[in-house]
Amino acid sequence: MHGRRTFLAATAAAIASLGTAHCAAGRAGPAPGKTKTFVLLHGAWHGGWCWSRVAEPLRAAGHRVYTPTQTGLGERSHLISKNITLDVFVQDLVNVFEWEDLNDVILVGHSFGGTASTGAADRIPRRIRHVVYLDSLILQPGQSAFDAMPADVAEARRKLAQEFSGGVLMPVPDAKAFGITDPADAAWLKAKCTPHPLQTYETRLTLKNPIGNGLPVTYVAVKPDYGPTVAVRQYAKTRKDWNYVELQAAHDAMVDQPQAVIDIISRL
Amino acid sequence: MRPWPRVGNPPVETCSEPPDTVQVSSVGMMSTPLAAQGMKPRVFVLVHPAWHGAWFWKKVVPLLRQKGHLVFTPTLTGLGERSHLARAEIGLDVHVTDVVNVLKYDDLRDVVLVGHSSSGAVITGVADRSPERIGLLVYLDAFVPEHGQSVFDLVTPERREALETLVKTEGSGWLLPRFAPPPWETIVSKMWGVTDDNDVRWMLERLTPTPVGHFRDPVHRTNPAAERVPRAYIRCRQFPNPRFNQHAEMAQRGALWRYREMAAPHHAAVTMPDNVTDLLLQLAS
Repeated sequence: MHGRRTFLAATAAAIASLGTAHCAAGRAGPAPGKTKTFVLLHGAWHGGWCWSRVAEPLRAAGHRVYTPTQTGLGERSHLISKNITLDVFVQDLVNVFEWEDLNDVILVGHSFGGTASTGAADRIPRRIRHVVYLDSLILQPGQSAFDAMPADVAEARRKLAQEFSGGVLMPVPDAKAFGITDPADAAWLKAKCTPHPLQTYETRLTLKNPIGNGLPVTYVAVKPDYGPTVAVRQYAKTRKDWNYVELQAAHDAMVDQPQAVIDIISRL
Repeated sequence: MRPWPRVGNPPVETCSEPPDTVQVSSVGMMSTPLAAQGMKPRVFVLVHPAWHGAWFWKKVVPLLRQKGHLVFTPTLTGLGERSHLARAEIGLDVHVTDVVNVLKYDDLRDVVLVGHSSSGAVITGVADRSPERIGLLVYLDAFVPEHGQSVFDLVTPERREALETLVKTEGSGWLLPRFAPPPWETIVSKMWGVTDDNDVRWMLERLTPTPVGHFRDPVHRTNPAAERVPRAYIRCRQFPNPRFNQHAEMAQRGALWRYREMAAPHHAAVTMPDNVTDLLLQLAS
C-alpha cells in the first residue's frame, strides 16, 4: 500500500508539471481487455454534465462510465422539492449500481458528491473496487454538511437559501468559487449549474460502518487549496490506510484538468 | 418568497433553460476514433418504455459506443433506478422534460432520438419542445400519438379498461403495475418474445410499476418545426399489434417517414441487439 501511495503521488506531480502538453500524449487509453467501470458523481450545483470531458475520452478508450445526476439538479432540476435529502442522494447513487448491476466499480465523488459516495460505500461495498474522493467533502457518521462547516458559513448559506427560495435551494455561486476562471468554461458552468437543494446539507449522514467501509480509498486534493475541503484533507491525511494525492488543478478539476483526472482514476 | 415548482410543472426558468448560445461541451474536445468508421459520429438518445429503465438498452449501448457514437439513456422519473422518486403526480409531461433536459444540459444537437413502445409518446412530446436539437425521430415498435392523444387512447377500449382495473386493484389508483393482467413471466416470454432464461431473470428483477399518467396524459404536438423533423418507424413483425400495423402503413406512405421492419419480437433491443443497432445506424447515416 505504501508503494502505491508513493507511485500515485509521483504521478500527480508529473501531471502537474507537464500541464496541458500532457493531454495529447495521455489519450492512449487502456490495453484491450482492461475495461473498467467508473461511476462519476458530481458535487453541489453541478450535474452529470460536468463530467463530459472525463467521461467521453474514457468511453472512447473502451471503459464503461456512468454519470448519474442527483435528484433536483441539472437535467433533474424539474424534480426539485424541499423533500430532497442526502438520503435521496444516496439512494440515487445506490440504485444506479443495482439496476445496472455494476461491480468492481471505481467510484469518484467530487466535492459534495463525496457525501453520497461515503453512503454508497457503506451500503454496497461489494460492488465497489475503489473510492476516489476528488477534492470532496467527507462527513463523519451522524454529521451533516452544515455540521462540517464553520457555524457562520453554514448560517450564511441558510440565510441565502431563505432569501433566494424560502429555504428550499441554495443559489449557484460564481464559477470562480469552483476555481474556474477561463471565460468559456465559466460560461459553461454558469449556463448549467442549478440551485442546490438545501436539505441535503441539513441531513445527517447515517453509516453502519466506518468511513470507507474497508475499501481502498484515494483522496485527491487540488492545489492551491480549496477552502471548504481544507479540514477534510486533514482527516484524509490521518487515514494511513488511504492514498493521498495532490493535483495542480481548480476545485472543478474535471472541467479544468480533465486529462489529469483521467490519468489518476484510470490507473486505479 | 419565490414559488418553486413541484413535480409536473415546467422547469425553473433560470436553471433548466440554459441559453442555446453556450456551446461548450466535450464533443469538440475528445479524440475521434470514429473517423475510421466511415460514418459521421452521431448522438443517440434512447428512451426506454414504461416499466423499464436505462437498463433496457444494456445490449445496444456498447454496440453503438464501440463504433464511436455518443449515447445517452435517461431513465424516466419513477422507473428503474429512479423508482424511489415515483409519485402520483408524475405523468407524460415529467417524462418529456426528463429527456428535453438531457438534450439541453448535455448540449446535444442533431440527435437521433429513439423511443420504444410507449415512449413513442415521450419522443413525440420531446420533438414538440426541442425540435431544433433533433435530427431524426425513430419510433421502434412504438406508439405515434397525434396532438391530444394519449397512449391509452391508442389501445382498444377493452384493453384500456383492463389496464385501468389493474391500476385500481394493484396500483393504489396511480401506478400501472404491468403491461397486462397475466404475471410478468408470461408477459416477458410470451408477449414480448424474450425467451433466454438469463434475459428473463434480468428483466423480472428490474421491471417496476409505472405512474399511470405516462399512459393517460395527452401528448402536446402543435409545434410546426417539430412536424418537419425527419422520422422513421421500425416495426417488429412478430409482435401482433393492429395499432402498430397502422403506424407502419402510415410510415410507408408518409413523405417525412422512412420505414423498416424486422422479423423480431417486440423486445428486439433485448433479443436482437445487433440487428437493432445496424438498423439504427443505417437510418442515421
